[in-house]
Amino acid sequence: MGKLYVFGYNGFGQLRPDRQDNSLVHPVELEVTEPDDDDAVAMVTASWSSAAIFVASAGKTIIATQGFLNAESHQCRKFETDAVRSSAWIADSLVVVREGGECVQVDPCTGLQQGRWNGPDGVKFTDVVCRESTILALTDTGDITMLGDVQSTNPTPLPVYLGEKVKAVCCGKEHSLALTLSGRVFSWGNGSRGQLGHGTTEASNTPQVIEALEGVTMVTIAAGGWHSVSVSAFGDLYVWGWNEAGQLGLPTSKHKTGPSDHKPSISEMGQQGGDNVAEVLVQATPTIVDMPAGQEVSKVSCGSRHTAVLTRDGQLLTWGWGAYGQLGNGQTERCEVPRAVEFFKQRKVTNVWCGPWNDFVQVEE
Amino acid sequence: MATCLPKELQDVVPGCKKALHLETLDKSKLGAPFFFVLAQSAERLFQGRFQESLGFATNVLDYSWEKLNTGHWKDVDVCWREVFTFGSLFKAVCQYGMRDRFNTMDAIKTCDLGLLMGAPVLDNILSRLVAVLQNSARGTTKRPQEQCSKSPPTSQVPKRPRTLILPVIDSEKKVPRVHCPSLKSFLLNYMRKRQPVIIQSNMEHWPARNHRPWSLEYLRQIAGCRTVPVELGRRYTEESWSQALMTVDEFIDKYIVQKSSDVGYLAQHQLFDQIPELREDIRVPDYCCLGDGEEDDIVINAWFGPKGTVSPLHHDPQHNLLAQVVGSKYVRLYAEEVSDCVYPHEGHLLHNTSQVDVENPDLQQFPRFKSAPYLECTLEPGEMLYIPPRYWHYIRSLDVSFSVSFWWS
Repeated sequence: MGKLYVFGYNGFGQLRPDRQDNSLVHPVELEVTEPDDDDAVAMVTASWSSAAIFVASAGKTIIATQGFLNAESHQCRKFETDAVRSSAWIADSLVVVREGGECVQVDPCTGLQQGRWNGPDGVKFTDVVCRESTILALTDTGDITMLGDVQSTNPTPLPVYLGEKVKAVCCGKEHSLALTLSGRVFSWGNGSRGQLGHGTTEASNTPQVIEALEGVTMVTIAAGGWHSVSVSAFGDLYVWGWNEAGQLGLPTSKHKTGPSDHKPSISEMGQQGGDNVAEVLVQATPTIVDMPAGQEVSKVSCGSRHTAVLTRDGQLLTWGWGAYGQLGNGQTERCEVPRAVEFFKQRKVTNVWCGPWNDFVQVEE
Repeated sequence: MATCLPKELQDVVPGCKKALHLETLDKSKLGAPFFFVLAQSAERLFQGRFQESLGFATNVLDYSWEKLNTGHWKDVDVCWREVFTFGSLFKAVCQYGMRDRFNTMDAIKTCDLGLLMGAPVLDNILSRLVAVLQNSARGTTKRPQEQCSKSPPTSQVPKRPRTLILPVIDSEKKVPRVHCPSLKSFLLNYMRKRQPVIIQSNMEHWPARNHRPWSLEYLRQIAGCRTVPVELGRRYTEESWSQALMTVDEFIDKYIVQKSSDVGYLAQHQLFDQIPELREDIRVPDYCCLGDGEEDDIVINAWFGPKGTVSPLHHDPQHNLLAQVVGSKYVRLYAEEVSDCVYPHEGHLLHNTSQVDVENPDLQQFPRFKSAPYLECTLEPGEMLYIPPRYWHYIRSLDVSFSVSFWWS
């Protein structure tokens, strides 16, 4: 039994439906289960406006949804379903992969099934991720499948070919990453901020292996809006992509702007709430980020413009965009280097899940 | 019900949420949660709950900013630029409504960011709002005093000796100069033949060259508090090149008046759409109507910078008249036919830019550049240079310079 803490954007009450604050800059506890319950939070997935908390309970899963539901903010619902192993938000709907390998879309207010995808013959789904209108699912055969709109009459899955078995997949706003069983990382999609890690700002329609990471076995990947991270078997953190708000954890002063063919649009400069001069920084090749005191990273999650990692000794570090308190340090400034979150220093953190502008942190009691 | 909006803004900002016509926005593209936040901001604005409205307006701006940066800028649905304008409007009114916490300059900056990134809504309300805010900041509704026409146009612009940097123009390669050609002559002899030419005596009627000369003092009066994009670094092909937003006052202080080793250039910016008062000081040359496009399609850009700004050798797809208002510029021109000799960059983003440093070419790396025929000139104040479409051009400012370019098809 652990505790769940939340911080960051709460404009729809998606962190704490009982709080009207637009943002929660200090971590606050979110009580999901009864205090004497033995059940533990297994997973959190958050969209911009809602969150779903999954609690494993006697072979079933209890899903607590909160935020913008049924066209109203500050809502919360709770329902029980067959055991869930993975989930993602697509627009206002929840996509879940059940333990049995089914991938279905459910109503986040009721848990009622709205549609289901059929995988290739007898294949079971194991994981699902979404971005904008794209849904990527992973199968137990280690293949990636792109799922179409569930509302269409025959949502035919399209295979994404890598030539290797895949164990994890994730996506940013315009790009996708895949981690293979052998520990290699592939990327595809738009690369205008270097988020593909191929050393350029060109796009790639098909998955390409990230050559700069070859020879280092990767064990975890994550994608923010326009940035990418991976963790090696040694616990080193590699980052690439856009450092506009310091989300790569690379100090901007010591850092090159990357390839000169990235000519920024005005919108990239007009960042709200930041300082007057918005530096445009693109890191198109993966690079290691030093953790304070050489700590090793075990888990990582990315918001649209911030990053949170869990170290092997249970510390939480955050950096990047902080305007909504999503760094958990009580402030709204950006932070360009990995920094331990004071609140959790005396606690043992066991998991972290980022929403686009907020965070959910699990702590051992 | 009496409106809760500040009195000065009531002529510009509608008195109720209904008059914003938010329902005409494409709700299916924006999504229900986003639309909810937008409506919350508007509702609280008209209730005078500025603090809460500002919170939601900030959500609107942050979310639409992320949309504006997703995919190519040109492909972003215009609805995201429209709601960026609404968010900027709400934020600026809130800031003005809470003048105990913000000053008018904050609200002006908010409007400018909306003008730079948003798309016009409600009859370009941000442009009208910023005019009111500017008058409020100036404490007057009048336009700054017109200067005596006898004072030299560049009186406030610091002059620097031109020694060493003044290029010697090869008389064989001089761009021809003509005195106000007729439309027909311009069309037949230059546009159709794709022939660069300098047109003289065609800017005499511009207020910017007459009774409202563009001195630094004048530009500060009209536009000092306005936020504009500035290119930092000597040329856009360099690694260290970047862009920043700053006010015109900050730009003049830091990059024009001071002898800064850093180069800042207010380049290729549609300043005259942003600041209509400055637009009144210039005139669209009649030659720009010689094309297939509508007059509204003529793109007018401002190019304002210190001595030493460089636009590397590149070409643009449209006809271009480069009008020199203040200061002079050295220009080198290469015809499209010699593209082979100027070694364009590879890759789609810089394919219209040459790799050669024109005034200091590496002939080992780019041997064919030496033999490429070219034209050159020093463009003086009051002159306009016609650059045909896809004609390679390299430009370096020899003084503090203000040019206006007109692009048309």
